[in-house]
Amino acid sequence: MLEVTNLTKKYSRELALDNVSLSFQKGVITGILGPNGSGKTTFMRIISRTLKGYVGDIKLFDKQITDKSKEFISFLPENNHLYDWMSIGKVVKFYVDFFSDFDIDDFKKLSMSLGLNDKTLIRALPKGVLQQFRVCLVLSRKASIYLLDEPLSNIDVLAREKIIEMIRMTTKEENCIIITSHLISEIELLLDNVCFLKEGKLIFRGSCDAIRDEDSTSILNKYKEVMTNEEISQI
Amino acid sequence: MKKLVKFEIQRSLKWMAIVILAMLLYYALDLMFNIDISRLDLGLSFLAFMFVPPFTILIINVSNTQSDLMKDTKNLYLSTPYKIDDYAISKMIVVIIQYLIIAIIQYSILILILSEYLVEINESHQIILPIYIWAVSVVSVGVLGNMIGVRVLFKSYLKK
Repeated sequence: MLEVTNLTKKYSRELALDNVSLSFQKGVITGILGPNGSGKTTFMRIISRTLKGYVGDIKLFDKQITDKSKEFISFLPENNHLYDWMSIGKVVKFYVDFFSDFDIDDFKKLSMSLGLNDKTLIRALPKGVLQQFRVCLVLSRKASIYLLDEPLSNIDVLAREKIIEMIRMTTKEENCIIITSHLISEIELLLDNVCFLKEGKLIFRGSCDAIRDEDSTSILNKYKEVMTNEEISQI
Repeated sequence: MKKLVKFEIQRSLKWMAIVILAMLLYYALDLMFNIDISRLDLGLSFLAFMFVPPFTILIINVSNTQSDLMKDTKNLYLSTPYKIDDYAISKMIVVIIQYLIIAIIQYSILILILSEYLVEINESHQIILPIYIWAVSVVSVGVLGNMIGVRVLFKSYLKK
């Protein structure tokens, strides 16, 4: 579905991504895990077409990725991407207007528990509610690829559980979800595959079941083990 | 594209209102202090009235685009399914609308101020040259400046 080959990105002289090659399949949730500054956000922004100037090949449905591909990609950036002068109603209207695949019924279903008021301004929302609202918006698109950059960071445990539930509800055979996080223990039960990034390099990729069955260890322990041993490995 | 233009207009309403209010304030001051801006020997006042609003719009548009691209909200804007040129063109259309509004207000105020003066001394030709200079220089520099400025900002940002 999505093929990334030899992706390299430099910020001035600093190498943010170094020859990263990955492929993502339908119906699979992949976690891109790594410490801060490992290139996770850069990777997500390149795939979402909000960052260019990279070297490498990215193919979506066997075709070179272009600005038109944004129609198939729903992107949740790490920090609040909503205009704080907008009300909730206006943001929803923005999504309805700009994204033809936005499903208002799905949005209502996902956001039901949040008790949102259309007139509330984005700047007035508590952090946890804002994060859940952002996730609802992104997951309410009928996209082929969902890119969720740190969806669980800076929020309380209950909000995290709700977001994990929303992601579960969105997972279908025809879409693929890519999640970055450094909260591995929180997210590991959600993932089918994992990739570990360190200093812009892909140092591990594999299936979560294989890690649990063959290595008899958790994703978190595998992560700790791999991060201390930088040799590229694969299951 | 229509949606992008609509969104850009919505975003620029506040600044446009400020510029229009400033022009109306100028007219009010003119009435209060009886300054005859049509007299070209009061050139500074005339030039300020003619040139400041369009250049303010130019500066506001380019600086707003730059500050937009520095904020996290760029990720919402840029993830919409458009090309970079579409964003720049939509901003351009809004700039042209803004310049038209400014021009209409400027001319209306000028006609109001000049009407009495023109009847009295019948020297309307005196204002043709500055208006011609305004039309050619301000509109073209302003519109081109916006176009180049906005596009360069988008292109350079996306490579960062």
